[in-house]
Amino acid sequence: MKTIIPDAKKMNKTLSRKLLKIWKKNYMAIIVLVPVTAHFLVFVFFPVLFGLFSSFTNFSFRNFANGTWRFVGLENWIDVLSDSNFWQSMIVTLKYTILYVPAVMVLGLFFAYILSRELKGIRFFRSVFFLPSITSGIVLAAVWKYLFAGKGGVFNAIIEKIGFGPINFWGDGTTVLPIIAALGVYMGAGSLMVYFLGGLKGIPTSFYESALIDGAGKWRIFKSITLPLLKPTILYALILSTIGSFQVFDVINILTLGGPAGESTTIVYLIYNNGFKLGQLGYAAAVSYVLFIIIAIITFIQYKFLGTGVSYE
Amino acid sequence: MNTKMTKLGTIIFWSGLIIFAGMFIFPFIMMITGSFSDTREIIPRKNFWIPEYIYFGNYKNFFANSKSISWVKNSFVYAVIPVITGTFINTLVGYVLAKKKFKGRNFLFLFFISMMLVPGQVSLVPNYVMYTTVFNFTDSYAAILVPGLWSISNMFLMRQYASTLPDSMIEAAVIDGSGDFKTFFKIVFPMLKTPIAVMGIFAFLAYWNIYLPVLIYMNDPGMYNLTVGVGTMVQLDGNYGMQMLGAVVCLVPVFILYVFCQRYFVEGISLSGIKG
Repeated sequence: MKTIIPDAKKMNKTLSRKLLKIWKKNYMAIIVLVPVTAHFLVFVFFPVLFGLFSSFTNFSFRNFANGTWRFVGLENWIDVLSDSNFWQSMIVTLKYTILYVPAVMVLGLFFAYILSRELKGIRFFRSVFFLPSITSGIVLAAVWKYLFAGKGGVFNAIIEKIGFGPINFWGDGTTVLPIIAALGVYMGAGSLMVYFLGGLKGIPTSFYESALIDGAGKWRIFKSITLPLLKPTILYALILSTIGSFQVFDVINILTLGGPAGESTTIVYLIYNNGFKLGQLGYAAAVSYVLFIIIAIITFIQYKFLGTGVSYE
Repeated sequence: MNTKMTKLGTIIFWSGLIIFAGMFIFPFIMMITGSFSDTREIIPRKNFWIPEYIYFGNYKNFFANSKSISWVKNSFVYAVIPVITGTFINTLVGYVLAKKKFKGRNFLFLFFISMMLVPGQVSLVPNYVMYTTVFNFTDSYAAILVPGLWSISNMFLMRQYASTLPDSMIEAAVIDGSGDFKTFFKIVFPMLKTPIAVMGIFAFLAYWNIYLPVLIYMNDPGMYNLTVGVGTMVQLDGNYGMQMLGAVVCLVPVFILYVFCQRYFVEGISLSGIKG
């Protein structure tokens, strides 16, 4: 024993000296990262795991607080995949994607292309097209509701003036989704424009000059030079717009509440409605994981395609 | 790309632009004229584009109502505090992960940013269970502010910027005997002014427009922000004049920011990609 104690003391001394050295070198990283990592684990990482856990339970508004919940195994997942409401929401979301993504991409690219020349006054137009992109979706949804209001809304006032009867825009299953997609395009075209403008600026002017010398026309230049060189930017924007179109929620909750007859119930609206209005939290957790899987597949495709970058050198 | 345009081409170009711009401004004009319209008059009036007379009642009603005043106040609370906390925490974390060398740094960074791939909807249910039981965040600012202390995507942006800073300047400060935090605030922070401004503006926008979390965690209408308050007005009643006024109030701060800081908005989009 007697021989061990001094050794332990010695070891303690070297250990504390070592720790002090580590602390002196790393104290900033420790002070910053320990609380941030703890916050990350509690508020970001744990919820993702706990969400998967929730999808195997029958969580509702009350039962998780008083402990009467139970595991239901794969029941929610089977419910989701055999539920006609879920499949309808998938179809509605896909319809929205088809209406929204091509339109917003073409319009964004079109605005970027025509506004890429440095002419006097052109910046004003860029600001105008970008304005809806920074405006809250709720603000624009409020205006949309007013513009398309059934009784005496702005557009119906015009329609009645021409001599036609009012159109029930919000009550008709065929008009609701295109109107919401139009709002999405209105809100999204500006940010895509700015994004593409950045991409266009990255194309060296020497490319255009040599094409002009070769006598190529404007359309030809756009098709053979601009589009191919912009491909990585376009693909990235395409993927982000597609992911965004799968997550549309705010404007639908304000404009239609998913109606009429589920015609505008998108996946995220289904999650909100079943989870937070009907209290089927376990089911909603399962749907949100299905959404996660869909988005993961889109992201995977993104990486596969973006692997082929373009170099300007 | 300055190709010459013909005279006819110039006319078509500018008139086309003006038509498109008119279409894009039209909803905003209807919003403003709508806010000055008497609700009883707005529906059956003869000319949809202008009110028959300018009506200030909506403005009076809105600002005389303590509930809508608290929406304005809450909007600022939900938007400003995450900007302040995020500015410091995101920059500190981004800097440490870019410039400090320690074991496990790359793992930690990848662990953080891997969560950017997970869509936010996945956390809705688990967060609800956690916040309403363990943390008791219902009807509390904490439901928005505590999860919003910092953000992974903005931290990522700051790290990308911080890694471009020259090591020599940081090392010179260390040789002068300045501590790590002093170096950070004296040398690094000022060099990151532009990305900090971009990040701050986008964080303000995101939190000013925050909707779903407020909808889920705030049962008391006095805790709503403008987006949820105005959204509820639009859902519930047909008082278009008041709704348009709510929309105007919600837009004004963002519009002022846009007019004065346009450069940063444009820069932010090109840097961080596009919002959903």
